[in-house]
Amino acid sequence: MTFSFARGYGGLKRSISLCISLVIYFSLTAASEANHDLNELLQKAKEERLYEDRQWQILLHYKPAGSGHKSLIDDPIFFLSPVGKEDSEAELEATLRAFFESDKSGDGHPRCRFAARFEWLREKLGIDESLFSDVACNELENILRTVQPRSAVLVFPAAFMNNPASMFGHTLLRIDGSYESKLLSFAANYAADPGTMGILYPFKGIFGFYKGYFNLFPYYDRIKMYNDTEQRDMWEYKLNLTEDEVRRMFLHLWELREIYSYYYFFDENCSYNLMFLLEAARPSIHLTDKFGTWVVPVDTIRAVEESGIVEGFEFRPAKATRIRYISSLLDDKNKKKALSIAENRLSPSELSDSAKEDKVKMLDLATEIIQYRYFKGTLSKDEYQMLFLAALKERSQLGTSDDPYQIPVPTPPEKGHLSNRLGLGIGVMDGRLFQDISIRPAYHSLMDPDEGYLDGSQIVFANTQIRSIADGRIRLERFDFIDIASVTPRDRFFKPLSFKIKTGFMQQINPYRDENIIYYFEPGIGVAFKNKYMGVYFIMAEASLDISGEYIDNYALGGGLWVGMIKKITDAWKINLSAETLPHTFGEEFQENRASAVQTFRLNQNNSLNLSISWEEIFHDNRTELELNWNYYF
Amino acid sequence: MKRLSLVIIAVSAMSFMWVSPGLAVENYGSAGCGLGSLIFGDQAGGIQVIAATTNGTSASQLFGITSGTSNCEKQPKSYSHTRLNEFVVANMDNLAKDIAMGQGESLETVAELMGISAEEKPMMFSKLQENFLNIFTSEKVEAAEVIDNITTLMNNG
Repeated sequence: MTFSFARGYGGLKRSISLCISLVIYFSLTAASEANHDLNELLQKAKEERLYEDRQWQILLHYKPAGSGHKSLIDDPIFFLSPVGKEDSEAELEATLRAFFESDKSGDGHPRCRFAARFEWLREKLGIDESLFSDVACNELENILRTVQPRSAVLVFPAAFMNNPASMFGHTLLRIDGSYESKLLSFAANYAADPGTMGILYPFKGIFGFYKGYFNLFPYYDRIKMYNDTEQRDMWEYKLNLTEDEVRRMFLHLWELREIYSYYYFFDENCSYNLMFLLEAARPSIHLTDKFGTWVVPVDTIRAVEESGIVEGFEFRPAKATRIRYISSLLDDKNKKKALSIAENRLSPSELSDSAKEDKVKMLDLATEIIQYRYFKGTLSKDEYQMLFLAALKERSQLGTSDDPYQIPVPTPPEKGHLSNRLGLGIGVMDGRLFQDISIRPAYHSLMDPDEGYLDGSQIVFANTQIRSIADGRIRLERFDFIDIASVTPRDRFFKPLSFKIKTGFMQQINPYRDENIIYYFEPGIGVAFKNKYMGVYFIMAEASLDISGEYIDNYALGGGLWVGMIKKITDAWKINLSAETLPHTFGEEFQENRASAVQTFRLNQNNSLNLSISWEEIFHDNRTELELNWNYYF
Repeated sequence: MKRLSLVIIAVSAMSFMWVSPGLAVENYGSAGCGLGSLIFGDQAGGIQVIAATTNGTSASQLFGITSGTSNCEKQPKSYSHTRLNEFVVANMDNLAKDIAMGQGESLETVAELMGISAEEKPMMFSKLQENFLNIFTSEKVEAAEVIDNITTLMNNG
């Protein structure tokens, strides 16, 4: 049997000829004639008020500001007019003039550098290409030939294990060419360039000290990063953009290369900036004006879905997801064997007494774990090479699996509850009736329905609860500045730590048998496990700092334990049980004990009920509370 | 509004820094040759947690579309196709896994780059699987050798 590799080039040749050539041929048009044409074009652009056209507004990233508008791009190189950032008309005029410049040539020429603007103006004004001097955009042509932009996919790497903060996620835009394999596609990404990351990194990220840039990576590189290194599942949303639209988008991306805008983590972030690319592809969709001051990447997925350009999605599981799945197909004894192979305690050739199908799964699992351990730095490169090759050698003798792995697809993130929450509650506290109203701008708590979210993760900002008590008092019950928790079970393969950190203000029993508002800060760290009957259960050591005017020296400091369990009974019903004991031994000395049971009922995507009973004892005084809460997510 | 994006939030983001358990990847960037050389995406290590949190990435590579460069300068003798070389250099570990399993996305990609038709693929895949050790001859095998070994196998059908 002989294969001829020469055939392989057929596809490539075809695609080159399909690429629209951008070479502009040399023309000997006299300068005066060009000037004459330029004046006509300027006149025409003015008459048609092209600077107000939506496409022009998109290409320059103009947004309304004051009585006029302003571009969100901060790099002066992006504007051909010195007042271009604020003046779309001047910018359009300067752009047209720049296209006729004869002192620049090749890729540095504005006609190549701002290829999307050029294409659009050429179409709109009917510019005769032969008017142009010898401008050959070689670099642009090369990249078009390599990428061959044809269709586009919006990619969302979901949260990564044990890091609730990553729930905010990230989005990128994959550009598919003519290859069937998506590994050969490229991914456009907008990211901050922090240079060296220091302690001020988050501050700088939030307040716009960093410059954000677009970049383009081979898609396989992004898969390695998100799926393999960071253990994040990836969601790929296929967009129904046409080839022309995707090409237009790509030309705009080309214009944006090496152009900076100041990066703001919460609004002008990765996800927001990608929306400009989609608008450039199809100006009739409106995405960049949809968001307020807080752009959560998953909300951009929702907005893109609402705009009607999503055709379907695919799921690309992380390596950890694969490991969990393959291990779920094996019994305990075989799981142990796979782990022993990965840990070099058992040779892959010693599996001979197992059935072939089991052997296949054990070796596949061992291979994944070997790679995972190498990524984590547990294995040196030499150990990795040796173990990896030994497992694969054995595996290659076993043929293909009769039953290829079909990893179940979880609920996609955009189908989870929305990011804001309004809660209305009614309850009894020590015989007194009360009503609660609470509002939370972000994002997800352990008591919310899990669908679409990472199990066991919580990230809450600025949760505010106001209580009206039957005796006529209305008070701030609590303000949880930030309340983060990650409860991630440990198993044979993964050994994560669980942790929490919360800080804010809340009502608490004081030494005078009354209650007042205190400031609290409570970090904790521990471990979690999972079992079929109990669900996930955890224990954490925690520290507690309370500050209150009613305390000796105004503070109380202590440390204690927090235990709990989270059991999902059905898809729509789960129970959280927890108990906490906190002796405060510095400052004001007292013992604080709490216990609670909360049930969550999911009604639909954006409605849920909580039924909770809680008890607390502080300064030998205690209170018990029963409450029913309705949560609406919006 | 955004400038007010709350000091609160800055404080909370700060707290991620020391709360997030870093997944230290000491081996990151170990280029060199052979398996395990270019296995990571461009970003890994302790900073990744923070970076993911704030969607940042070290954008030193601003618009570089070529990746997968390593210290290995060997070129395949048999077959010259830039995309194929780049791909195998950057994905050698996944390719090894796929060849050993007789299926997978990296293997499909190599077949596509080599212009193997759909009918010929099953035969190719099982042949490569059977000859795994003739392709990945040692831990230090280089991408160029892998390509040459595959080519030799296919031509000696």
